[in-house]
Amino acid sequence: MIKLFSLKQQKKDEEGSARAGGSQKKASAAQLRITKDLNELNLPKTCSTEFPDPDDLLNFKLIICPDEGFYRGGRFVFSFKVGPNYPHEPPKVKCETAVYHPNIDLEGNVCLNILREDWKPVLTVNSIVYGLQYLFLEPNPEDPLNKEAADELQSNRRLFEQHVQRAMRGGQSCFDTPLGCESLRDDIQVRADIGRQGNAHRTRIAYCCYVRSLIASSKNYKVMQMSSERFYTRGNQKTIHNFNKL
Amino acid sequence: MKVTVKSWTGVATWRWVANDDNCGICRMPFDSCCPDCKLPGDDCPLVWGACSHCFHIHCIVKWLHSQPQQQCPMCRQDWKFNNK
Ligand SMILES: [Zn+2]
Ligand SMILES: [Zn+2]
Ligand SMILES: [Zn+2]
Repeated sequence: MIKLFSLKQQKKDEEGSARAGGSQKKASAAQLRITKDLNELNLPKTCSTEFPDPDDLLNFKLIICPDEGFYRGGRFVFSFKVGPNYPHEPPKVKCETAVYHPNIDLEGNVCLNILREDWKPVLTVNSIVYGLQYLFLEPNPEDPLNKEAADELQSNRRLFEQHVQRAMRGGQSCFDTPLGCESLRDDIQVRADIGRQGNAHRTRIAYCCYVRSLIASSKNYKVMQMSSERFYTRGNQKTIHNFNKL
Repeated sequence: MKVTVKSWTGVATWRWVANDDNCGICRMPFDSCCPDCKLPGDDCPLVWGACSHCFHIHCIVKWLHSQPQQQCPMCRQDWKFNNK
């Protein structure tokens, strides 16, 4: 798969140089290095990559579906942005999926040592993949980004597990129809398409679970409450007013 | 039979003697240059640290410049150039 990309790239480069009479644009150091990283990528079976633009190897997504631990059954999407200084600087990695995790905050910032102070250029995309995978197997309550989640993991593992499960149910497929939460990041809009879903009641329950888990996992309850007024259903565009009663 | 050598062309190959094939920073082979250079050889030499790790000089210098502490990017020991 990845090999195809480099072949494609090569072909494109050749075409480009044929057209430009041999003066092809040289790939940047970061591009050269990331191409090598991706060619040598050895993904664990729980991980896969996606390239929204196959010609752009500097921006891609990593999908992790843990098969054990608290996060078993979840599906978490991370965006990788590889800057021009790679590998002297680590890629910028964000979690695009809402998750209740001591080391991932609601904005998707990830606290992983090798993405920050312990980065060194001999590390590769593969090292980061394994680091992220480990984060789901062994969430680390020391040095947390989501303090509530960290405290709960230490004080009450069962409750922690419940909140994790709830956040995962709400954030992803619940009752086999995905309850969209496309842009939790921006202004926390959740579109629960009650009108279109067969079972409005079950959808509403799922939706309530999701909203609660957001609140449970939020550092800032007030912000969540305010944003909640913007939650609406796509079917009839009705704002959910009784949110506070949930 | 008598052979007279009228002219000859010498051909030699060279390799850097390093304990690895690729530079750990740019991942280019040591026999080629770092991504910022055009030609391998004396213009883009290899350097060794006291820890015995080896990199393109341009790669390691760029890394050391970006760091508050001068550490080997491979083993994190303090970086000292080994002038052998
Ligand atoms: Zn190098
Ligand atoms: Zn060089
Ligand atoms: Zn070293």
